[in-house]
Amino acid sequence: MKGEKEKVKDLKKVQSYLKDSKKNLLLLKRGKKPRRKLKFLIKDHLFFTILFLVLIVGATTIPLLIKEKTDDKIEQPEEKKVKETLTLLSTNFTDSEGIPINELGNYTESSKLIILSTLSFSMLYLAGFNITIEQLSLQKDNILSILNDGSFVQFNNNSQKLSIFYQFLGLYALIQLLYATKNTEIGFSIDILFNSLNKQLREYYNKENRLFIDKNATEAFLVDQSLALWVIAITILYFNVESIFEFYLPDIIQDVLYSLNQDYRNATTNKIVSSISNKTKEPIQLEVTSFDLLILVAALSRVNLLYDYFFDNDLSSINLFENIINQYTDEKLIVYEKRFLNGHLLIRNQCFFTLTSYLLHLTVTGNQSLNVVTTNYWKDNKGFIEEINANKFSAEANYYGLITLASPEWSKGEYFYIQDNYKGNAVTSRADVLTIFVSLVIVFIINKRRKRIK
Amino acid sequence: MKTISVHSYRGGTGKTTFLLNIAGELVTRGKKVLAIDFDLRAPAFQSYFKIDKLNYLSDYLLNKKHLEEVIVQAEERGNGRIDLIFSSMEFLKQHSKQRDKLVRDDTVYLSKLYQLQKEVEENYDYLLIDTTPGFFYRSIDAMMISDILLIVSTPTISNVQGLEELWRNVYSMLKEDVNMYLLINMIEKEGEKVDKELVEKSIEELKKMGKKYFANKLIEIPDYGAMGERIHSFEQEPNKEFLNKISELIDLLNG
Repeated sequence: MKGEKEKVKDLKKVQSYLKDSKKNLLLLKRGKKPRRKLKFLIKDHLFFTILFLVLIVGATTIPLLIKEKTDDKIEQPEEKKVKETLTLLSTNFTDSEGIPINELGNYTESSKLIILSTLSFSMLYLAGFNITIEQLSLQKDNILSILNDGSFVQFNNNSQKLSIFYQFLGLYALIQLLYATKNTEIGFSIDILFNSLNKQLREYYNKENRLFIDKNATEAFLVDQSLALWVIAITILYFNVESIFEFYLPDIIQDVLYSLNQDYRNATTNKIVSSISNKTKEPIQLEVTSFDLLILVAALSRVNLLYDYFFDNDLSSINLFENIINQYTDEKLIVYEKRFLNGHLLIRNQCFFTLTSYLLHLTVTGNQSLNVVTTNYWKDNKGFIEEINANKFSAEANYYGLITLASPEWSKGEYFYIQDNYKGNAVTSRADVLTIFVSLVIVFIINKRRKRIK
Repeated sequence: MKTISVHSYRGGTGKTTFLLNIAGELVTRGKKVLAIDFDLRAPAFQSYFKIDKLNYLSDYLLNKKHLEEVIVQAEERGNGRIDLIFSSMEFLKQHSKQRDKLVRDDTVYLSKLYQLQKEVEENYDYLLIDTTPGFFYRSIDAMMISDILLIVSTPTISNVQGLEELWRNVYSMLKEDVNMYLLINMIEKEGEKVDKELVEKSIEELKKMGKKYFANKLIEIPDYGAMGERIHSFEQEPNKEFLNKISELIDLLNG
């Protein structure tokens, strides 16, 4: 007779099979192949599996052995800082129900903070930090509570929608949460994501103008286009889908890239602008911030992985990242808000600079920028501050701090996750060649500048 | 094409009899029906249809035969027709490796079953699937692709307990996708001694479950006496009360 434990284990297997089958049936209905468990693929193709493993081991260890000699040593995960930050967040910036707040009783920023909180907890979990299933489950409950009919809304006010930027940041957080909870008991339906993305595309994507536009606004922002591109690209890469309801995602990427090239470049100066008119497409805000450019580079880094479609596009993440380093960072790689070392020194910008570096596999640059965050933005062994010299702790600053701490390990996992899931022709050796090339260019730029300063 | 699966917690609940009698009644209504014996552990179609030299469902699932080679034409009535796909215990016994493949937790069989459903949808009005009782991966595959799931239970304590467990672990996870009905089969087996009190108690429990879990989509089949392994629509002397009930059941399933 089977023991009770064994019976429960069997029932869990049945439940897990059912969950997987639901997803697989959806794939079948979309004309795609279901995902078979690795053990069955290995059993059926034993010879090829062994051959494949030998090739993989060879292909991964040899470059690592070579790289080990040139790269700086990667620091150990900063467990203690994560722990302190989480304590600060839970004591000063969370209410008794687990809702993020900036001050007691004030929920005006809570939706934005829920999005950042979901994003940081998911990334920390994926990066291997000590995040419990209960903590993730709370993030799931919180983010789903601000999702109304596919749109992200103000906390406790379903009729007030968040801006385009936060709609897509919400989707980005939801994608990371889906990715984090995939094999856990709190996993949830991917349809929530697809429905919400469909809603945003219907609401904000203007096919005629090839732009994401808020009908109630007069200008279309570069940062909104970039974040939308980023979200669409990772939807394709993570979930191996190309269509969301009536929308064919590669076409949207292609069209928005076209607009970025055509409309967001000032015709006279050939410089990228921060916003353009919804109607005339004339530039409105000329000065582009480091944040605008970093989100664009991050988006392009993922779009570039969709090799077949977009590799030859004029927008080059290499040139853009080079521009950011030359015009927005000092010799320590501290990121400034505005061109030629002007404007504020914000943790948000340093966070995205770090994250983007890792997305481009620029480990040395990423580590150096991470070091800026953990020395210049880390205060009193408690948590992160918003701005260098301002000494102000805030919920937002601490979430950016956590995202930065998660970035190195998270980005490695993401790259392998994409390789496992995306079945297009993108993530191939040619994409890796691009990465090596980018690394060489950036290392060259930084070294050149260091020599100049000395 | 509508896909209906029949499932139960234990064997011997009469699910195959119900499935084939539903099929028979649909045929007399002029419908084209394909019935699949997907009860891979205890296939039973051969007790109802005496047909020799068969290819089996396993041949199709293991890519040894094409679909048209495993479909058997069984009965025609006017415009109506029933075709069958058989399974065989003998096959499973003889091919232990294949049997291992069939019981393992591998999505390849969900794909095959879905492919089968797509291939036949133009030719039939109904696809009826008899499943293996209990927690069996292939039965879950059948439930997944179904529009309607008919859960058959006899009034015994073990069936009541099993149904509760099945609800918690399987049916509840499918309730959004599949329309479910609970069928209480009160037909007593010939020569079987029953404890009337326990039967009454089990019926009460099953009714409660029908209300709680299946939104009252509950069908009670009274004791009409022995039904035998036969399809009453095709018989010269059918049990008319039973046939009327089956007809009522089909109307209910068709909404």
